[in-house]
Amino acid sequence: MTAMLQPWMIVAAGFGYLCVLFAVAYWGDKRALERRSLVASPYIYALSIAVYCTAWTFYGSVGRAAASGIDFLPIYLGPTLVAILWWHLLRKILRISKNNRITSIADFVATRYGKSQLLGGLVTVIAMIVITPYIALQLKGVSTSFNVLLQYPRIVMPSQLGSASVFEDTALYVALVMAAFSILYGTRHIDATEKHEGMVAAVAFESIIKLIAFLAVGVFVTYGIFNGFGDIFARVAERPELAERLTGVGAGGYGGWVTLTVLSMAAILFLPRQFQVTVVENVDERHLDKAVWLFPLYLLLINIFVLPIAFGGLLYFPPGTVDGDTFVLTLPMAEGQGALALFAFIGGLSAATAMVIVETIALSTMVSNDLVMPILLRIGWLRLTERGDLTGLLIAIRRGSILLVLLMGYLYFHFIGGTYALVSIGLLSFAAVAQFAPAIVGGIYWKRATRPGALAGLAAGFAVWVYTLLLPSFAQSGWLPMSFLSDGPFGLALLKPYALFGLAGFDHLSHSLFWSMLANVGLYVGVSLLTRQSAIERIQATRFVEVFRQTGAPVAEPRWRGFGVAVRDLQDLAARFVGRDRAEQNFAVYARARGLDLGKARIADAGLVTFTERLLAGAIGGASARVMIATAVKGEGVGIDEVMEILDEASQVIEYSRELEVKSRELEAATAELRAAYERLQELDRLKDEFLTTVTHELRTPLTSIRSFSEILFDNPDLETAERQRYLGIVIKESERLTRLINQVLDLAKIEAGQFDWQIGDVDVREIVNDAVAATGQLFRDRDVSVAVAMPERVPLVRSDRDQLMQVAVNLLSNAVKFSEPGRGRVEVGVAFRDGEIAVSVRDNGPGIPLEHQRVIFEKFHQVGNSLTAKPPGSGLGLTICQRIVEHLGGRIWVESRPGEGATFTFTVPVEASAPAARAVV
Amino acid sequence: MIRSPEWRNERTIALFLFGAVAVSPPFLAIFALDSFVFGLPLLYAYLFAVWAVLIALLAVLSGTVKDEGAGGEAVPPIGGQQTESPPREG
Repeated sequence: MTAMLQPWMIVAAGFGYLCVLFAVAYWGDKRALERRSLVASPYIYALSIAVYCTAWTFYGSVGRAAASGIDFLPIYLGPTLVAILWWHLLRKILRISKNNRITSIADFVATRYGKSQLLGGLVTVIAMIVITPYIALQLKGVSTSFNVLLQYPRIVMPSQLGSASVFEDTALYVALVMAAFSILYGTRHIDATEKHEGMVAAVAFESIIKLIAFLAVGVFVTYGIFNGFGDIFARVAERPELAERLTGVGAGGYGGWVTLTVLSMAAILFLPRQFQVTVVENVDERHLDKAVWLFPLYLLLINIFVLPIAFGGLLYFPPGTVDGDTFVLTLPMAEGQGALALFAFIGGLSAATAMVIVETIALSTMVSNDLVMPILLRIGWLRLTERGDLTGLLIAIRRGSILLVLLMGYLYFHFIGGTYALVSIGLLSFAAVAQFAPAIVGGIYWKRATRPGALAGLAAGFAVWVYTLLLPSFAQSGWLPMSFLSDGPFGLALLKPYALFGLAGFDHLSHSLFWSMLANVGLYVGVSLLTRQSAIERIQATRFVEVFRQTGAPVAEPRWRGFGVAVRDLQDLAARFVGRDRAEQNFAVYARARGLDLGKARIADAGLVTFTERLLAGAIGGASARVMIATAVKGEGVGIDEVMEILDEASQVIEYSRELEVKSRELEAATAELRAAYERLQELDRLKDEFLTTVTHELRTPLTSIRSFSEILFDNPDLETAERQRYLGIVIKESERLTRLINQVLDLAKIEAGQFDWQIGDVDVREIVNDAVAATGQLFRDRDVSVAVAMPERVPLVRSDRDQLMQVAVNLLSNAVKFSEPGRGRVEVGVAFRDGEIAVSVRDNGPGIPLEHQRVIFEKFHQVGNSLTAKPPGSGLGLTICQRIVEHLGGRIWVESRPGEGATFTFTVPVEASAPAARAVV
Repeated sequence: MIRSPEWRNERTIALFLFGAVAVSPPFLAIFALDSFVFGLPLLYAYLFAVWAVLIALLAVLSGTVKDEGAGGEAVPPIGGQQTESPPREG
C-alpha cells in the first residue's frame, strides 16, 4: 500500500482500534459476570503487567538509543531484577492487600500507618503531580506520531510544522478521547473490590499488539532495509561519530546507569498503574509463579530491535533531520511502507492508551478514596450522610479526576514537555515514584516505622524532587528565570538546584536521587525512632509485617465496640457507597457465613461493624471508611485507641505467659529425664558393688578350700595315700573353678573392649545343640532332671563362631538345670528356622523369673535370687556373656517367663548374614 | 522436582545478587570494548545474554514450588472472597 494515507484513514484506524479494545473490555467484564473469568490466567496477568511498556518504550527507547547508545536498557534490567524478588516482596504485598482490601497505593500506605487520612492524601497528591509528566509523555508520543504520519509519504518533523493554537493541537484531542475512554472503562460502576477485569483484558490485548507492531518494524528495518544485525553494526563501526555509542554506557556514565536501574526497580513496584495491575487486579497469587519470568521475557523481546532501529535510523537519514523518537514510524514511511507505518502507529497508540487508562483509573480511585471523600466527609459529613445514595457522587468524583489528570498532563505537555525527549520526561516521574519506596518497603518489613516517620520522609523526599528536578524543568521552559538554575535562588550559589550544597559532577537525575533519598530515608528512619506508635498503628504494623505468620491466631484487626448500632443503620451506611442491592447481598452473605439471622439481631456485633468497615474500604478507601464508621458507631465511652491499647497489652501479657508455660513444661520434662538417668546410674552402681562382693566371695571360697586342704597336706606328711589323693582332687577342682571364674571375667572384659578373638566359620546349629546337651548330660543326671530335644531335619548352615555359640547353649542349659527341681524338673530344647534366622530355645519348668527381673537379667552383675532364696551358684556373668556373644554374632537373646511356670530363654542366629556384622559391642 | 518455598527463596536471593552484580558498572567496564561477537557489539551481546540467563533460571525456579493456593488470612476474612463478585450494574 504505497498510496497516500488520508487523514481520515488514520483517524478511522485509530478509532477502529479503540473500538476493538472496548469490545475486548466489554467481553472481559461479561465473562467476569458469568464467573468464567477471562483474566484468571498467569499469561494474561503477565501481559497486563507489561503495561509498563508505554510510548516511552515504543518510541522513546529508540530515541534514547539513537542519542546515547545502550543506556535505554537499565529501565528494563531493573524490573527484571525486581521480578526475581517478587516471590518475597510482591507476594507479601499481595497477601497484605487481599487481607485489607487495598484499593490503591495510597490506600496501602495509609492503611499501614494506622489508616491515616493525612498520609493517604499526601501519597495521592504526590502521585498526581508525579504522573502528570508521564501522562504528558504519552500525549506527546501519540500526537507526534499522528502528526508525522499525516504527512505521509513526506517526512516532516512536527517542530518544523509551526506551533498550532490550543484548539488545533492534536494532543488536546488525544487527551480528551483518552479521558472519555478511561471513564467508559473504569468508572461505570463502584465495585466493592475495585477489580476491573475488562480493563485488564484490554490491557493484555494491547500488550500483544504493541509487541507485534514493534517486532514487525524491527524485522523490517533489520532485514528489509539492512541485511541483519551484523550489517547495521558493521556500518555503524565505520562511522566514528556513531561507533562510540556501541562501547560506552551512555551520557550518564556508570553513575547514571546505576541510577536508572534503581529508579526502574522502584517504578515497577510503585508506579500507581503497576500497583493497580500487579496487586489490585491480581485474582490469584499463584499467577505470580509464571509472571516472574514471563514479564522479563516480554521486556527482553520488546527490546531486541531497539538498537537496530535506532542505528538504522541514524544511518538512513542525514544527521539532524529526523528526531530519533520517531524512527519507528519514519523508517517504514521513508521506504513507502504505508501499511507498516500505520501498524506501528497503532502499536504506539496501544502502548500509550494502555498506560493512560490504567494510570488514570488508579489515580481516580486514589483521588476519590484518599483525597476528596475524606475532605467531604470531614467538612460536611452531616449533609453527606443525609443523602441517600452516594455511589453517584463517587462515580462523579472519579470521572472528574480522570479528566483533571489528563488535562494536567496536556498542560504540562503544551507548556513544558514539548521540547524534551520522551525518555527525559518519563525519568522525571520515575525519580519521584522512587520516593514511595522507603515508606512501603520499610512498612512491610520494619514494624517500628511510625506514621510521623513516613509522613516526614515522603514529604521531604518529594520536596527535594520538586526542587532539584521539577522546578528546573519549569526554568528551562521559561516559566522561571534561568538565573534560578545558573546562580541559584536569590543568587545563593549553594542552593543551585542542579548542584545542591555544591554537589557537582553527577548527572541531574543521580544528583536528585541522592539528595531526595537521603532526606527521605533519613527522616523516615530518624523520625520513626523518635516517635511512638499509636495503638492502631501498632496493630496495623503487626498485621502488615507478620502477614505470613498469622496462622492459628491472626493478629486481631482493630475492632469496634459496636455499642447500640442497629444492623439496619450499618446496612444503610454501606448502601450509600456501594449501592443498595450490593450492600444487601453482602450482608446476606455475611449472615449466612456466620449463621446469623440479621432480621432478628437488631444490634450489630463488633464483627459486623468491622465487616462493614471493610466493605466500605473497598469502595472509598481504608481511611475514609474508618471515619464513616466512627461517626456511625455511637456511644463510644472510651476512645478506640485506649481500648486497643489495653487489648494489645493484655494480649502481649497472655502471649508472654503462654511462652512461660511452654518453657516450664519443657523444664519439667528435662528434669524427669535427668531423674530417670540418675536412678539408672544409681542402680548400675549398686549392681557393680554387688558384683564386686560376689566376685570376691566367689574367689575366696575356692581359695579358702585350696588353702585349707593344702595346709592339711603340708602339716600331715604321713597322710594315707587315698586321703591325700582325695584332698589333692579337691584342690584341683577348686583351682579349676577359680580359673573358670577368672576366665569369664576376662572374656567379658575382652568382648566389651572389642578385642575378642572370634573364629568365624560355617556352623551347623543342630550339631551345636546336640554337643551342648551331651556336654551337660552329667549335670542333668546329677540333679535328676530330664531333657528333651526337638529339631527339624535340617537347618541352613550359618557363618558364626562355633565355640562361642556352644558356650551360649551350654550356659543356658546349665542355668535351666540349676533352677529345676530335682526329680520333677524337665528341660525342653527347641531349634526352629523362620524369618531368615535360626532360633534356639531352652525351656524349663522351674520357679520362673519375676517380671522386674526379666528386664535386667542380662545385665552384668545381676543375679536372680539374691533376696529370694539362697544365692544361686554362679558369678552373675553367664547371661551377660551370652548376650554379648549373641548380639555380636548378629542375633538377639531374650527371656519369656511367668512366675511359677518356668522360663524360656531364646537366642537367634541370622542365616543370610554371610559374615557376622562387625557390630560395635556395647 | 517439587521443593520447599524456603529452598526457592534462598536461590532467588542468590540469583538477584548474581543479576545485580552482572549488570553493575565493573562488569560493564570489562565488556565495554570495541569488539564484536557474531556481528553484535560485545557489551550489547553480553547484557542480552545475562538477561536471557536470568529469565531461564527464573523459569526453572518457578516450576520448583507448588504453591498451596492463594490464601487469605487463615481465619476467613470478614466478608472474604464470597463477596468479591456481587452482581454489577450495566
